[in-house]
Amino acid sequence: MTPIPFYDSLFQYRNAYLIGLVNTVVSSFSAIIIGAILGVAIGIAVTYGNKYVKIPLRLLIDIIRGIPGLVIIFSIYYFLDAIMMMHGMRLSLMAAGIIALSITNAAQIAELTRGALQAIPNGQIEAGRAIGLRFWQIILYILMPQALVQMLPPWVNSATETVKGSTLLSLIGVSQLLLVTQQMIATNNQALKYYIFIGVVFFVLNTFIEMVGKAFEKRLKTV
Amino acid sequence: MADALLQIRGLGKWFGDHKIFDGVNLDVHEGEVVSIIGSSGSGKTTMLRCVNLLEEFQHGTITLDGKEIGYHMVGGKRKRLSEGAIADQRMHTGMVFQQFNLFPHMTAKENVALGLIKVKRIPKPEAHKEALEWLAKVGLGDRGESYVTQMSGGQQQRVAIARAVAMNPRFLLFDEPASALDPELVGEVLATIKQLASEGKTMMIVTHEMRFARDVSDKVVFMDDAKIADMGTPEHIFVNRNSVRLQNFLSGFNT
Repeated sequence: MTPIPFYDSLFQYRNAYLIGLVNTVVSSFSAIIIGAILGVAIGIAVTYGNKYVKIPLRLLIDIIRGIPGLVIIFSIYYFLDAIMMMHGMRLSLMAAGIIALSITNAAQIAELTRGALQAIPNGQIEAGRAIGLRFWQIILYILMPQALVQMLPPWVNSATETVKGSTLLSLIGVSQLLLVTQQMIATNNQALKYYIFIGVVFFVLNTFIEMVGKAFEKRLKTV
Repeated sequence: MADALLQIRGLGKWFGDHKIFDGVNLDVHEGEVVSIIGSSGSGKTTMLRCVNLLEEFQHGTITLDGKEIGYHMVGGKRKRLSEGAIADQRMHTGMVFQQFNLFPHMTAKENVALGLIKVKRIPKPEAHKEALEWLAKVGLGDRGESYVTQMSGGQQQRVAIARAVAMNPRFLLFDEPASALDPELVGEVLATIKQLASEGKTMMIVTHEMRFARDVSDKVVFMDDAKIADMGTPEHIFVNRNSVRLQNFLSGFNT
């Protein structure tokens, strides 16, 4: 391939960029959603579970939070792929990436959930009990609505971190924005221009997340 | 006299070797108002919390309508019931807390309606209508849509009372209902409780408001030294004052 001017290259390789964007968005947003569901569930379990639930989960959260995201991505990819190969299947790069990002994200959200739940006065649980609610109802109708208000700003933060962290998936070969960019630079040089370009794309993505977060915050604040 | 609605027999609460109270026997009959007085740390609040099964207790039994609550015997061993079974038993008890413990993310109406909807399975529109009626009863008919955080302490405590009575419990427990209130707001809350008492609601009230206890109670319990030290009619407790400890305790109050 011969180098071509910057703007022409963006147009010529628009499909590659589009695939890169789709992969970035799909991997990070899946991780945000899966991480949220897993994270809230683990956060609740680690706050209110008995010691047989609490101690292993506590350990798991701390381990995941203590390991670099990149190490988790590689471990998940090689470990799960090896297991699947034994059964004659292969793990797709994208699936490995989503699993790894979800796990990293879930540990963060679990910690946020635990912190927010522990900050709620015990009297709230007792008041729920006093009217005869089951514990899961107390969590669902009394504790989580209050915890979510506290959690939302750091949650938005962790969502933007996940989008940024998705660039690491280029290292196991997921064709997302960073990998496309590196391939463009390999043929066309002009590294700075291409990096500024995806910098802008990521900025737009994360601004969008922050706007959604602000909108939610506004809705919850009236509560 | 018919059997008591609530029978407490040999109730004992310990934290390890530390005795909170023990050997507590108390009957509460249908329609009766029982006040529990005593100095701080005498175990009166903890005793009330045991009745609502918010605390575990080590000895004794509590029976409601002749049926033991909170514990059962499994193979000769005393075991606490599952949280689900206890939740069902708590439906019959209403409780009002010192710190109100209202749900801050809900309106007054939603606070009262939550139990009706989720525990009693009343459809939402009906539950909200009923909640407004209960709020009207405690003098807050026009505040249904207000968030409780925007209300005064006295109003919040009245919402909490409405939340407890809306469940139509067999009896109501009040844990120092006026202790967290500014002095000028105490009256409205006590008046609300008095009104419920006059309607024949069965209640146990832990309180430091001696005049109120004297006015409203059928029976007054004096807890001291980790047990029930004296018990009887308001006259018996407030006029006779049969022990030095009771005399000393009451001398600190206007009765």
